[in-house]
Amino acid sequence: GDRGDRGARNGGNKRFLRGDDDDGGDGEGRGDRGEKRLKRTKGAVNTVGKHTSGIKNKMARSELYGKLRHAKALDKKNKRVSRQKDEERALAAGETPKPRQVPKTIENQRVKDETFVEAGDEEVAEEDAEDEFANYFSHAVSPKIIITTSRKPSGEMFRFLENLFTVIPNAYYYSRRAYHLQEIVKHAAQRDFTDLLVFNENRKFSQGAKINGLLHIHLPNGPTALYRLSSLVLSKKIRNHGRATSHYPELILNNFSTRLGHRVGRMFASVFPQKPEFQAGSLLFSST
Amino acid sequence: MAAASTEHRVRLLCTDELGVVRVSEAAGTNRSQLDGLLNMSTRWGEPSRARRILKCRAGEDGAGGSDSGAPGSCVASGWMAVARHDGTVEVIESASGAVMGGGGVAVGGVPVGVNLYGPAPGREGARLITVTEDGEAVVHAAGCGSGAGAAGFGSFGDDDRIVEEWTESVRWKATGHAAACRASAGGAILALGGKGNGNDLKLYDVETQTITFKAKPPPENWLGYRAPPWVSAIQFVPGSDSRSIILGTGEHVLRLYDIRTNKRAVLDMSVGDAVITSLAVSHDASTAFIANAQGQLNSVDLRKGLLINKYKGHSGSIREVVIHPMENLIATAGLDRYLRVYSTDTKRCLAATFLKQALTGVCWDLRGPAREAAAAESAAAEEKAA
Repeated sequence: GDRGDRGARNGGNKRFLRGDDDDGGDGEGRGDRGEKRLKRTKGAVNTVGKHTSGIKNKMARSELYGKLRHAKALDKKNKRVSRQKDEERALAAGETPKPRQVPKTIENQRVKDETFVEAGDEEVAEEDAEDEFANYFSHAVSPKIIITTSRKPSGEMFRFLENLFTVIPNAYYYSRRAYHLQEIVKHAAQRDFTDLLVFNENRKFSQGAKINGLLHIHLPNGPTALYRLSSLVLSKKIRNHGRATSHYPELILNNFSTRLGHRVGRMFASVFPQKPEFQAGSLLFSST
Repeated sequence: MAAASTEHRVRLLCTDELGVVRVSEAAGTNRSQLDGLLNMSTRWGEPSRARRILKCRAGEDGAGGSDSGAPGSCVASGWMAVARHDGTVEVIESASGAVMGGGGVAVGGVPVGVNLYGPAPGREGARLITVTEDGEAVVHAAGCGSGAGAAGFGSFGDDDRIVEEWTESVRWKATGHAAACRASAGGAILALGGKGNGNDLKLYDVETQTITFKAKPPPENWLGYRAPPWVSAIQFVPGSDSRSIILGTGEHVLRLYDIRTNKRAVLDMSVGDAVITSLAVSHDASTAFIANAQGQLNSVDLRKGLLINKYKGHSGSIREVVIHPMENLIATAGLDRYLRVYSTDTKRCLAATFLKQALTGVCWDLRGPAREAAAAESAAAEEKAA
């Protein structure tokens, strides 16, 4: 709860640092503007801003903010130093030190649910043996990709596609003209293509064109996936970027662990040929 | 364990995209709660995509179905008919998974729906009605008798198994293209519909193969446009003596027909945003449950024509919604690989199981082994008391 704010609304600046208010309204010893300790608030986030947001006066507020920030940084440093000292002491005494704290990352926040695929799951294997990608994985068919765009593509789209063609082997570009997707699918299937990638861009005249979508259609009636693209960075913009060679890339698929992820991972894999030449670079698909 | 504790045991049979039937069970002591998780207990069948199951349906009473007293006590409720993509239809015994009637029957086309009925007063054996995608309706018959089979069926009647092989009794071209079908009145009436002009809802009398009702299309809209028919789900309203039918279309429209009063739909409303894949009606005929291809499960008051509830949970196309023959529970199975059971009283999802394959159908099994055990116990208890 935003105790600080409520205090200010009640007209009492003195209550802005109230934490778990179990002594119900007793302001003794707390709420002093000179209070340097950050108390726990009832809400999930315990930030300096929450404690100072009740003060209307900008000068007073910024002064307290600075003091609380400094106090917080000092607190953090002291805790770290004491942890390190404890560890050294324990090591010197020959005891096992306390386990170190593990930082929170996006990857380790993942909660395992029932749709996770375990290794050696026979149901998954049964489905994989007969799904739309089975003939790719059994080396019966090798990928042949059509890449096209939305109608009237911009220069930016072509620059992006140049990057893409260096990475995807055996890909052909066909201009979209005004064909309907169903017509394109029919003709591509007739000419033995295995996948169709349609990149979409939206044009905003004030901000320029933005490539924001990819429709991946696996060809003979295969699954279709629509992806939203964000944070596209062309290889030119990346410092010391690698140059793709003509070798087939090695694919790394990280964290495609659920049932859906497994299927999507297979779909990505079916775009690239199955003979990785390891002296070439690798392509990383990472799911979080 | 007292007999009462297994009284409400829930047993569901799901079919999937690899042609396998999965049995899921949960104990239930309370109508608004499923005690324990709905776990998959057994699997029947070899996985094969070519033999994937398109539709399944539990067997029904042959005596004129919707108004019969105790749905769980009829002979056919221990059977399930399963229609496969390779054009075969099989009848499986729900307790053991054994195929009855001498194996699968070739139907002569990709089946679109299958209906199974037990023996009736005027008819000795079981009846299997199938409709194929080309609009052909086929009726198969097989004799029943008490056969050596699953133990413990004795308390429910003697003619429990289909003993003879299926023989085709009649086949006729019912419509140009069929996408949904449903039979009623013990197998005497067949409703079907498909996609395209000329394939709107038609009701056939199965004995004479004649049309008893042909639906009239809705009036043109303000643009002068009338969408071509696309029937994607059909369901008879219980308690109406097969006179009221609801229909779901590919353009997410729900229609209610009353055969005796009007050839046009009595109720015509848009429900959801996608093709309606399955329909179910509550026991008192007041509410219809509409499932569509986007995972939306809505319930509509049939008398007022209003959307009342949304049942949340599914994230993929719901292939089938079935209501429990006696209680207020609906089971749904969908392509998101989950089987869910909802209570229609509390509108909550009571249980959800991840069954690992895309599911295409679900049936309630009233005569599973647990029920047999419960019935045997209660019979034993009665004997002791007497």
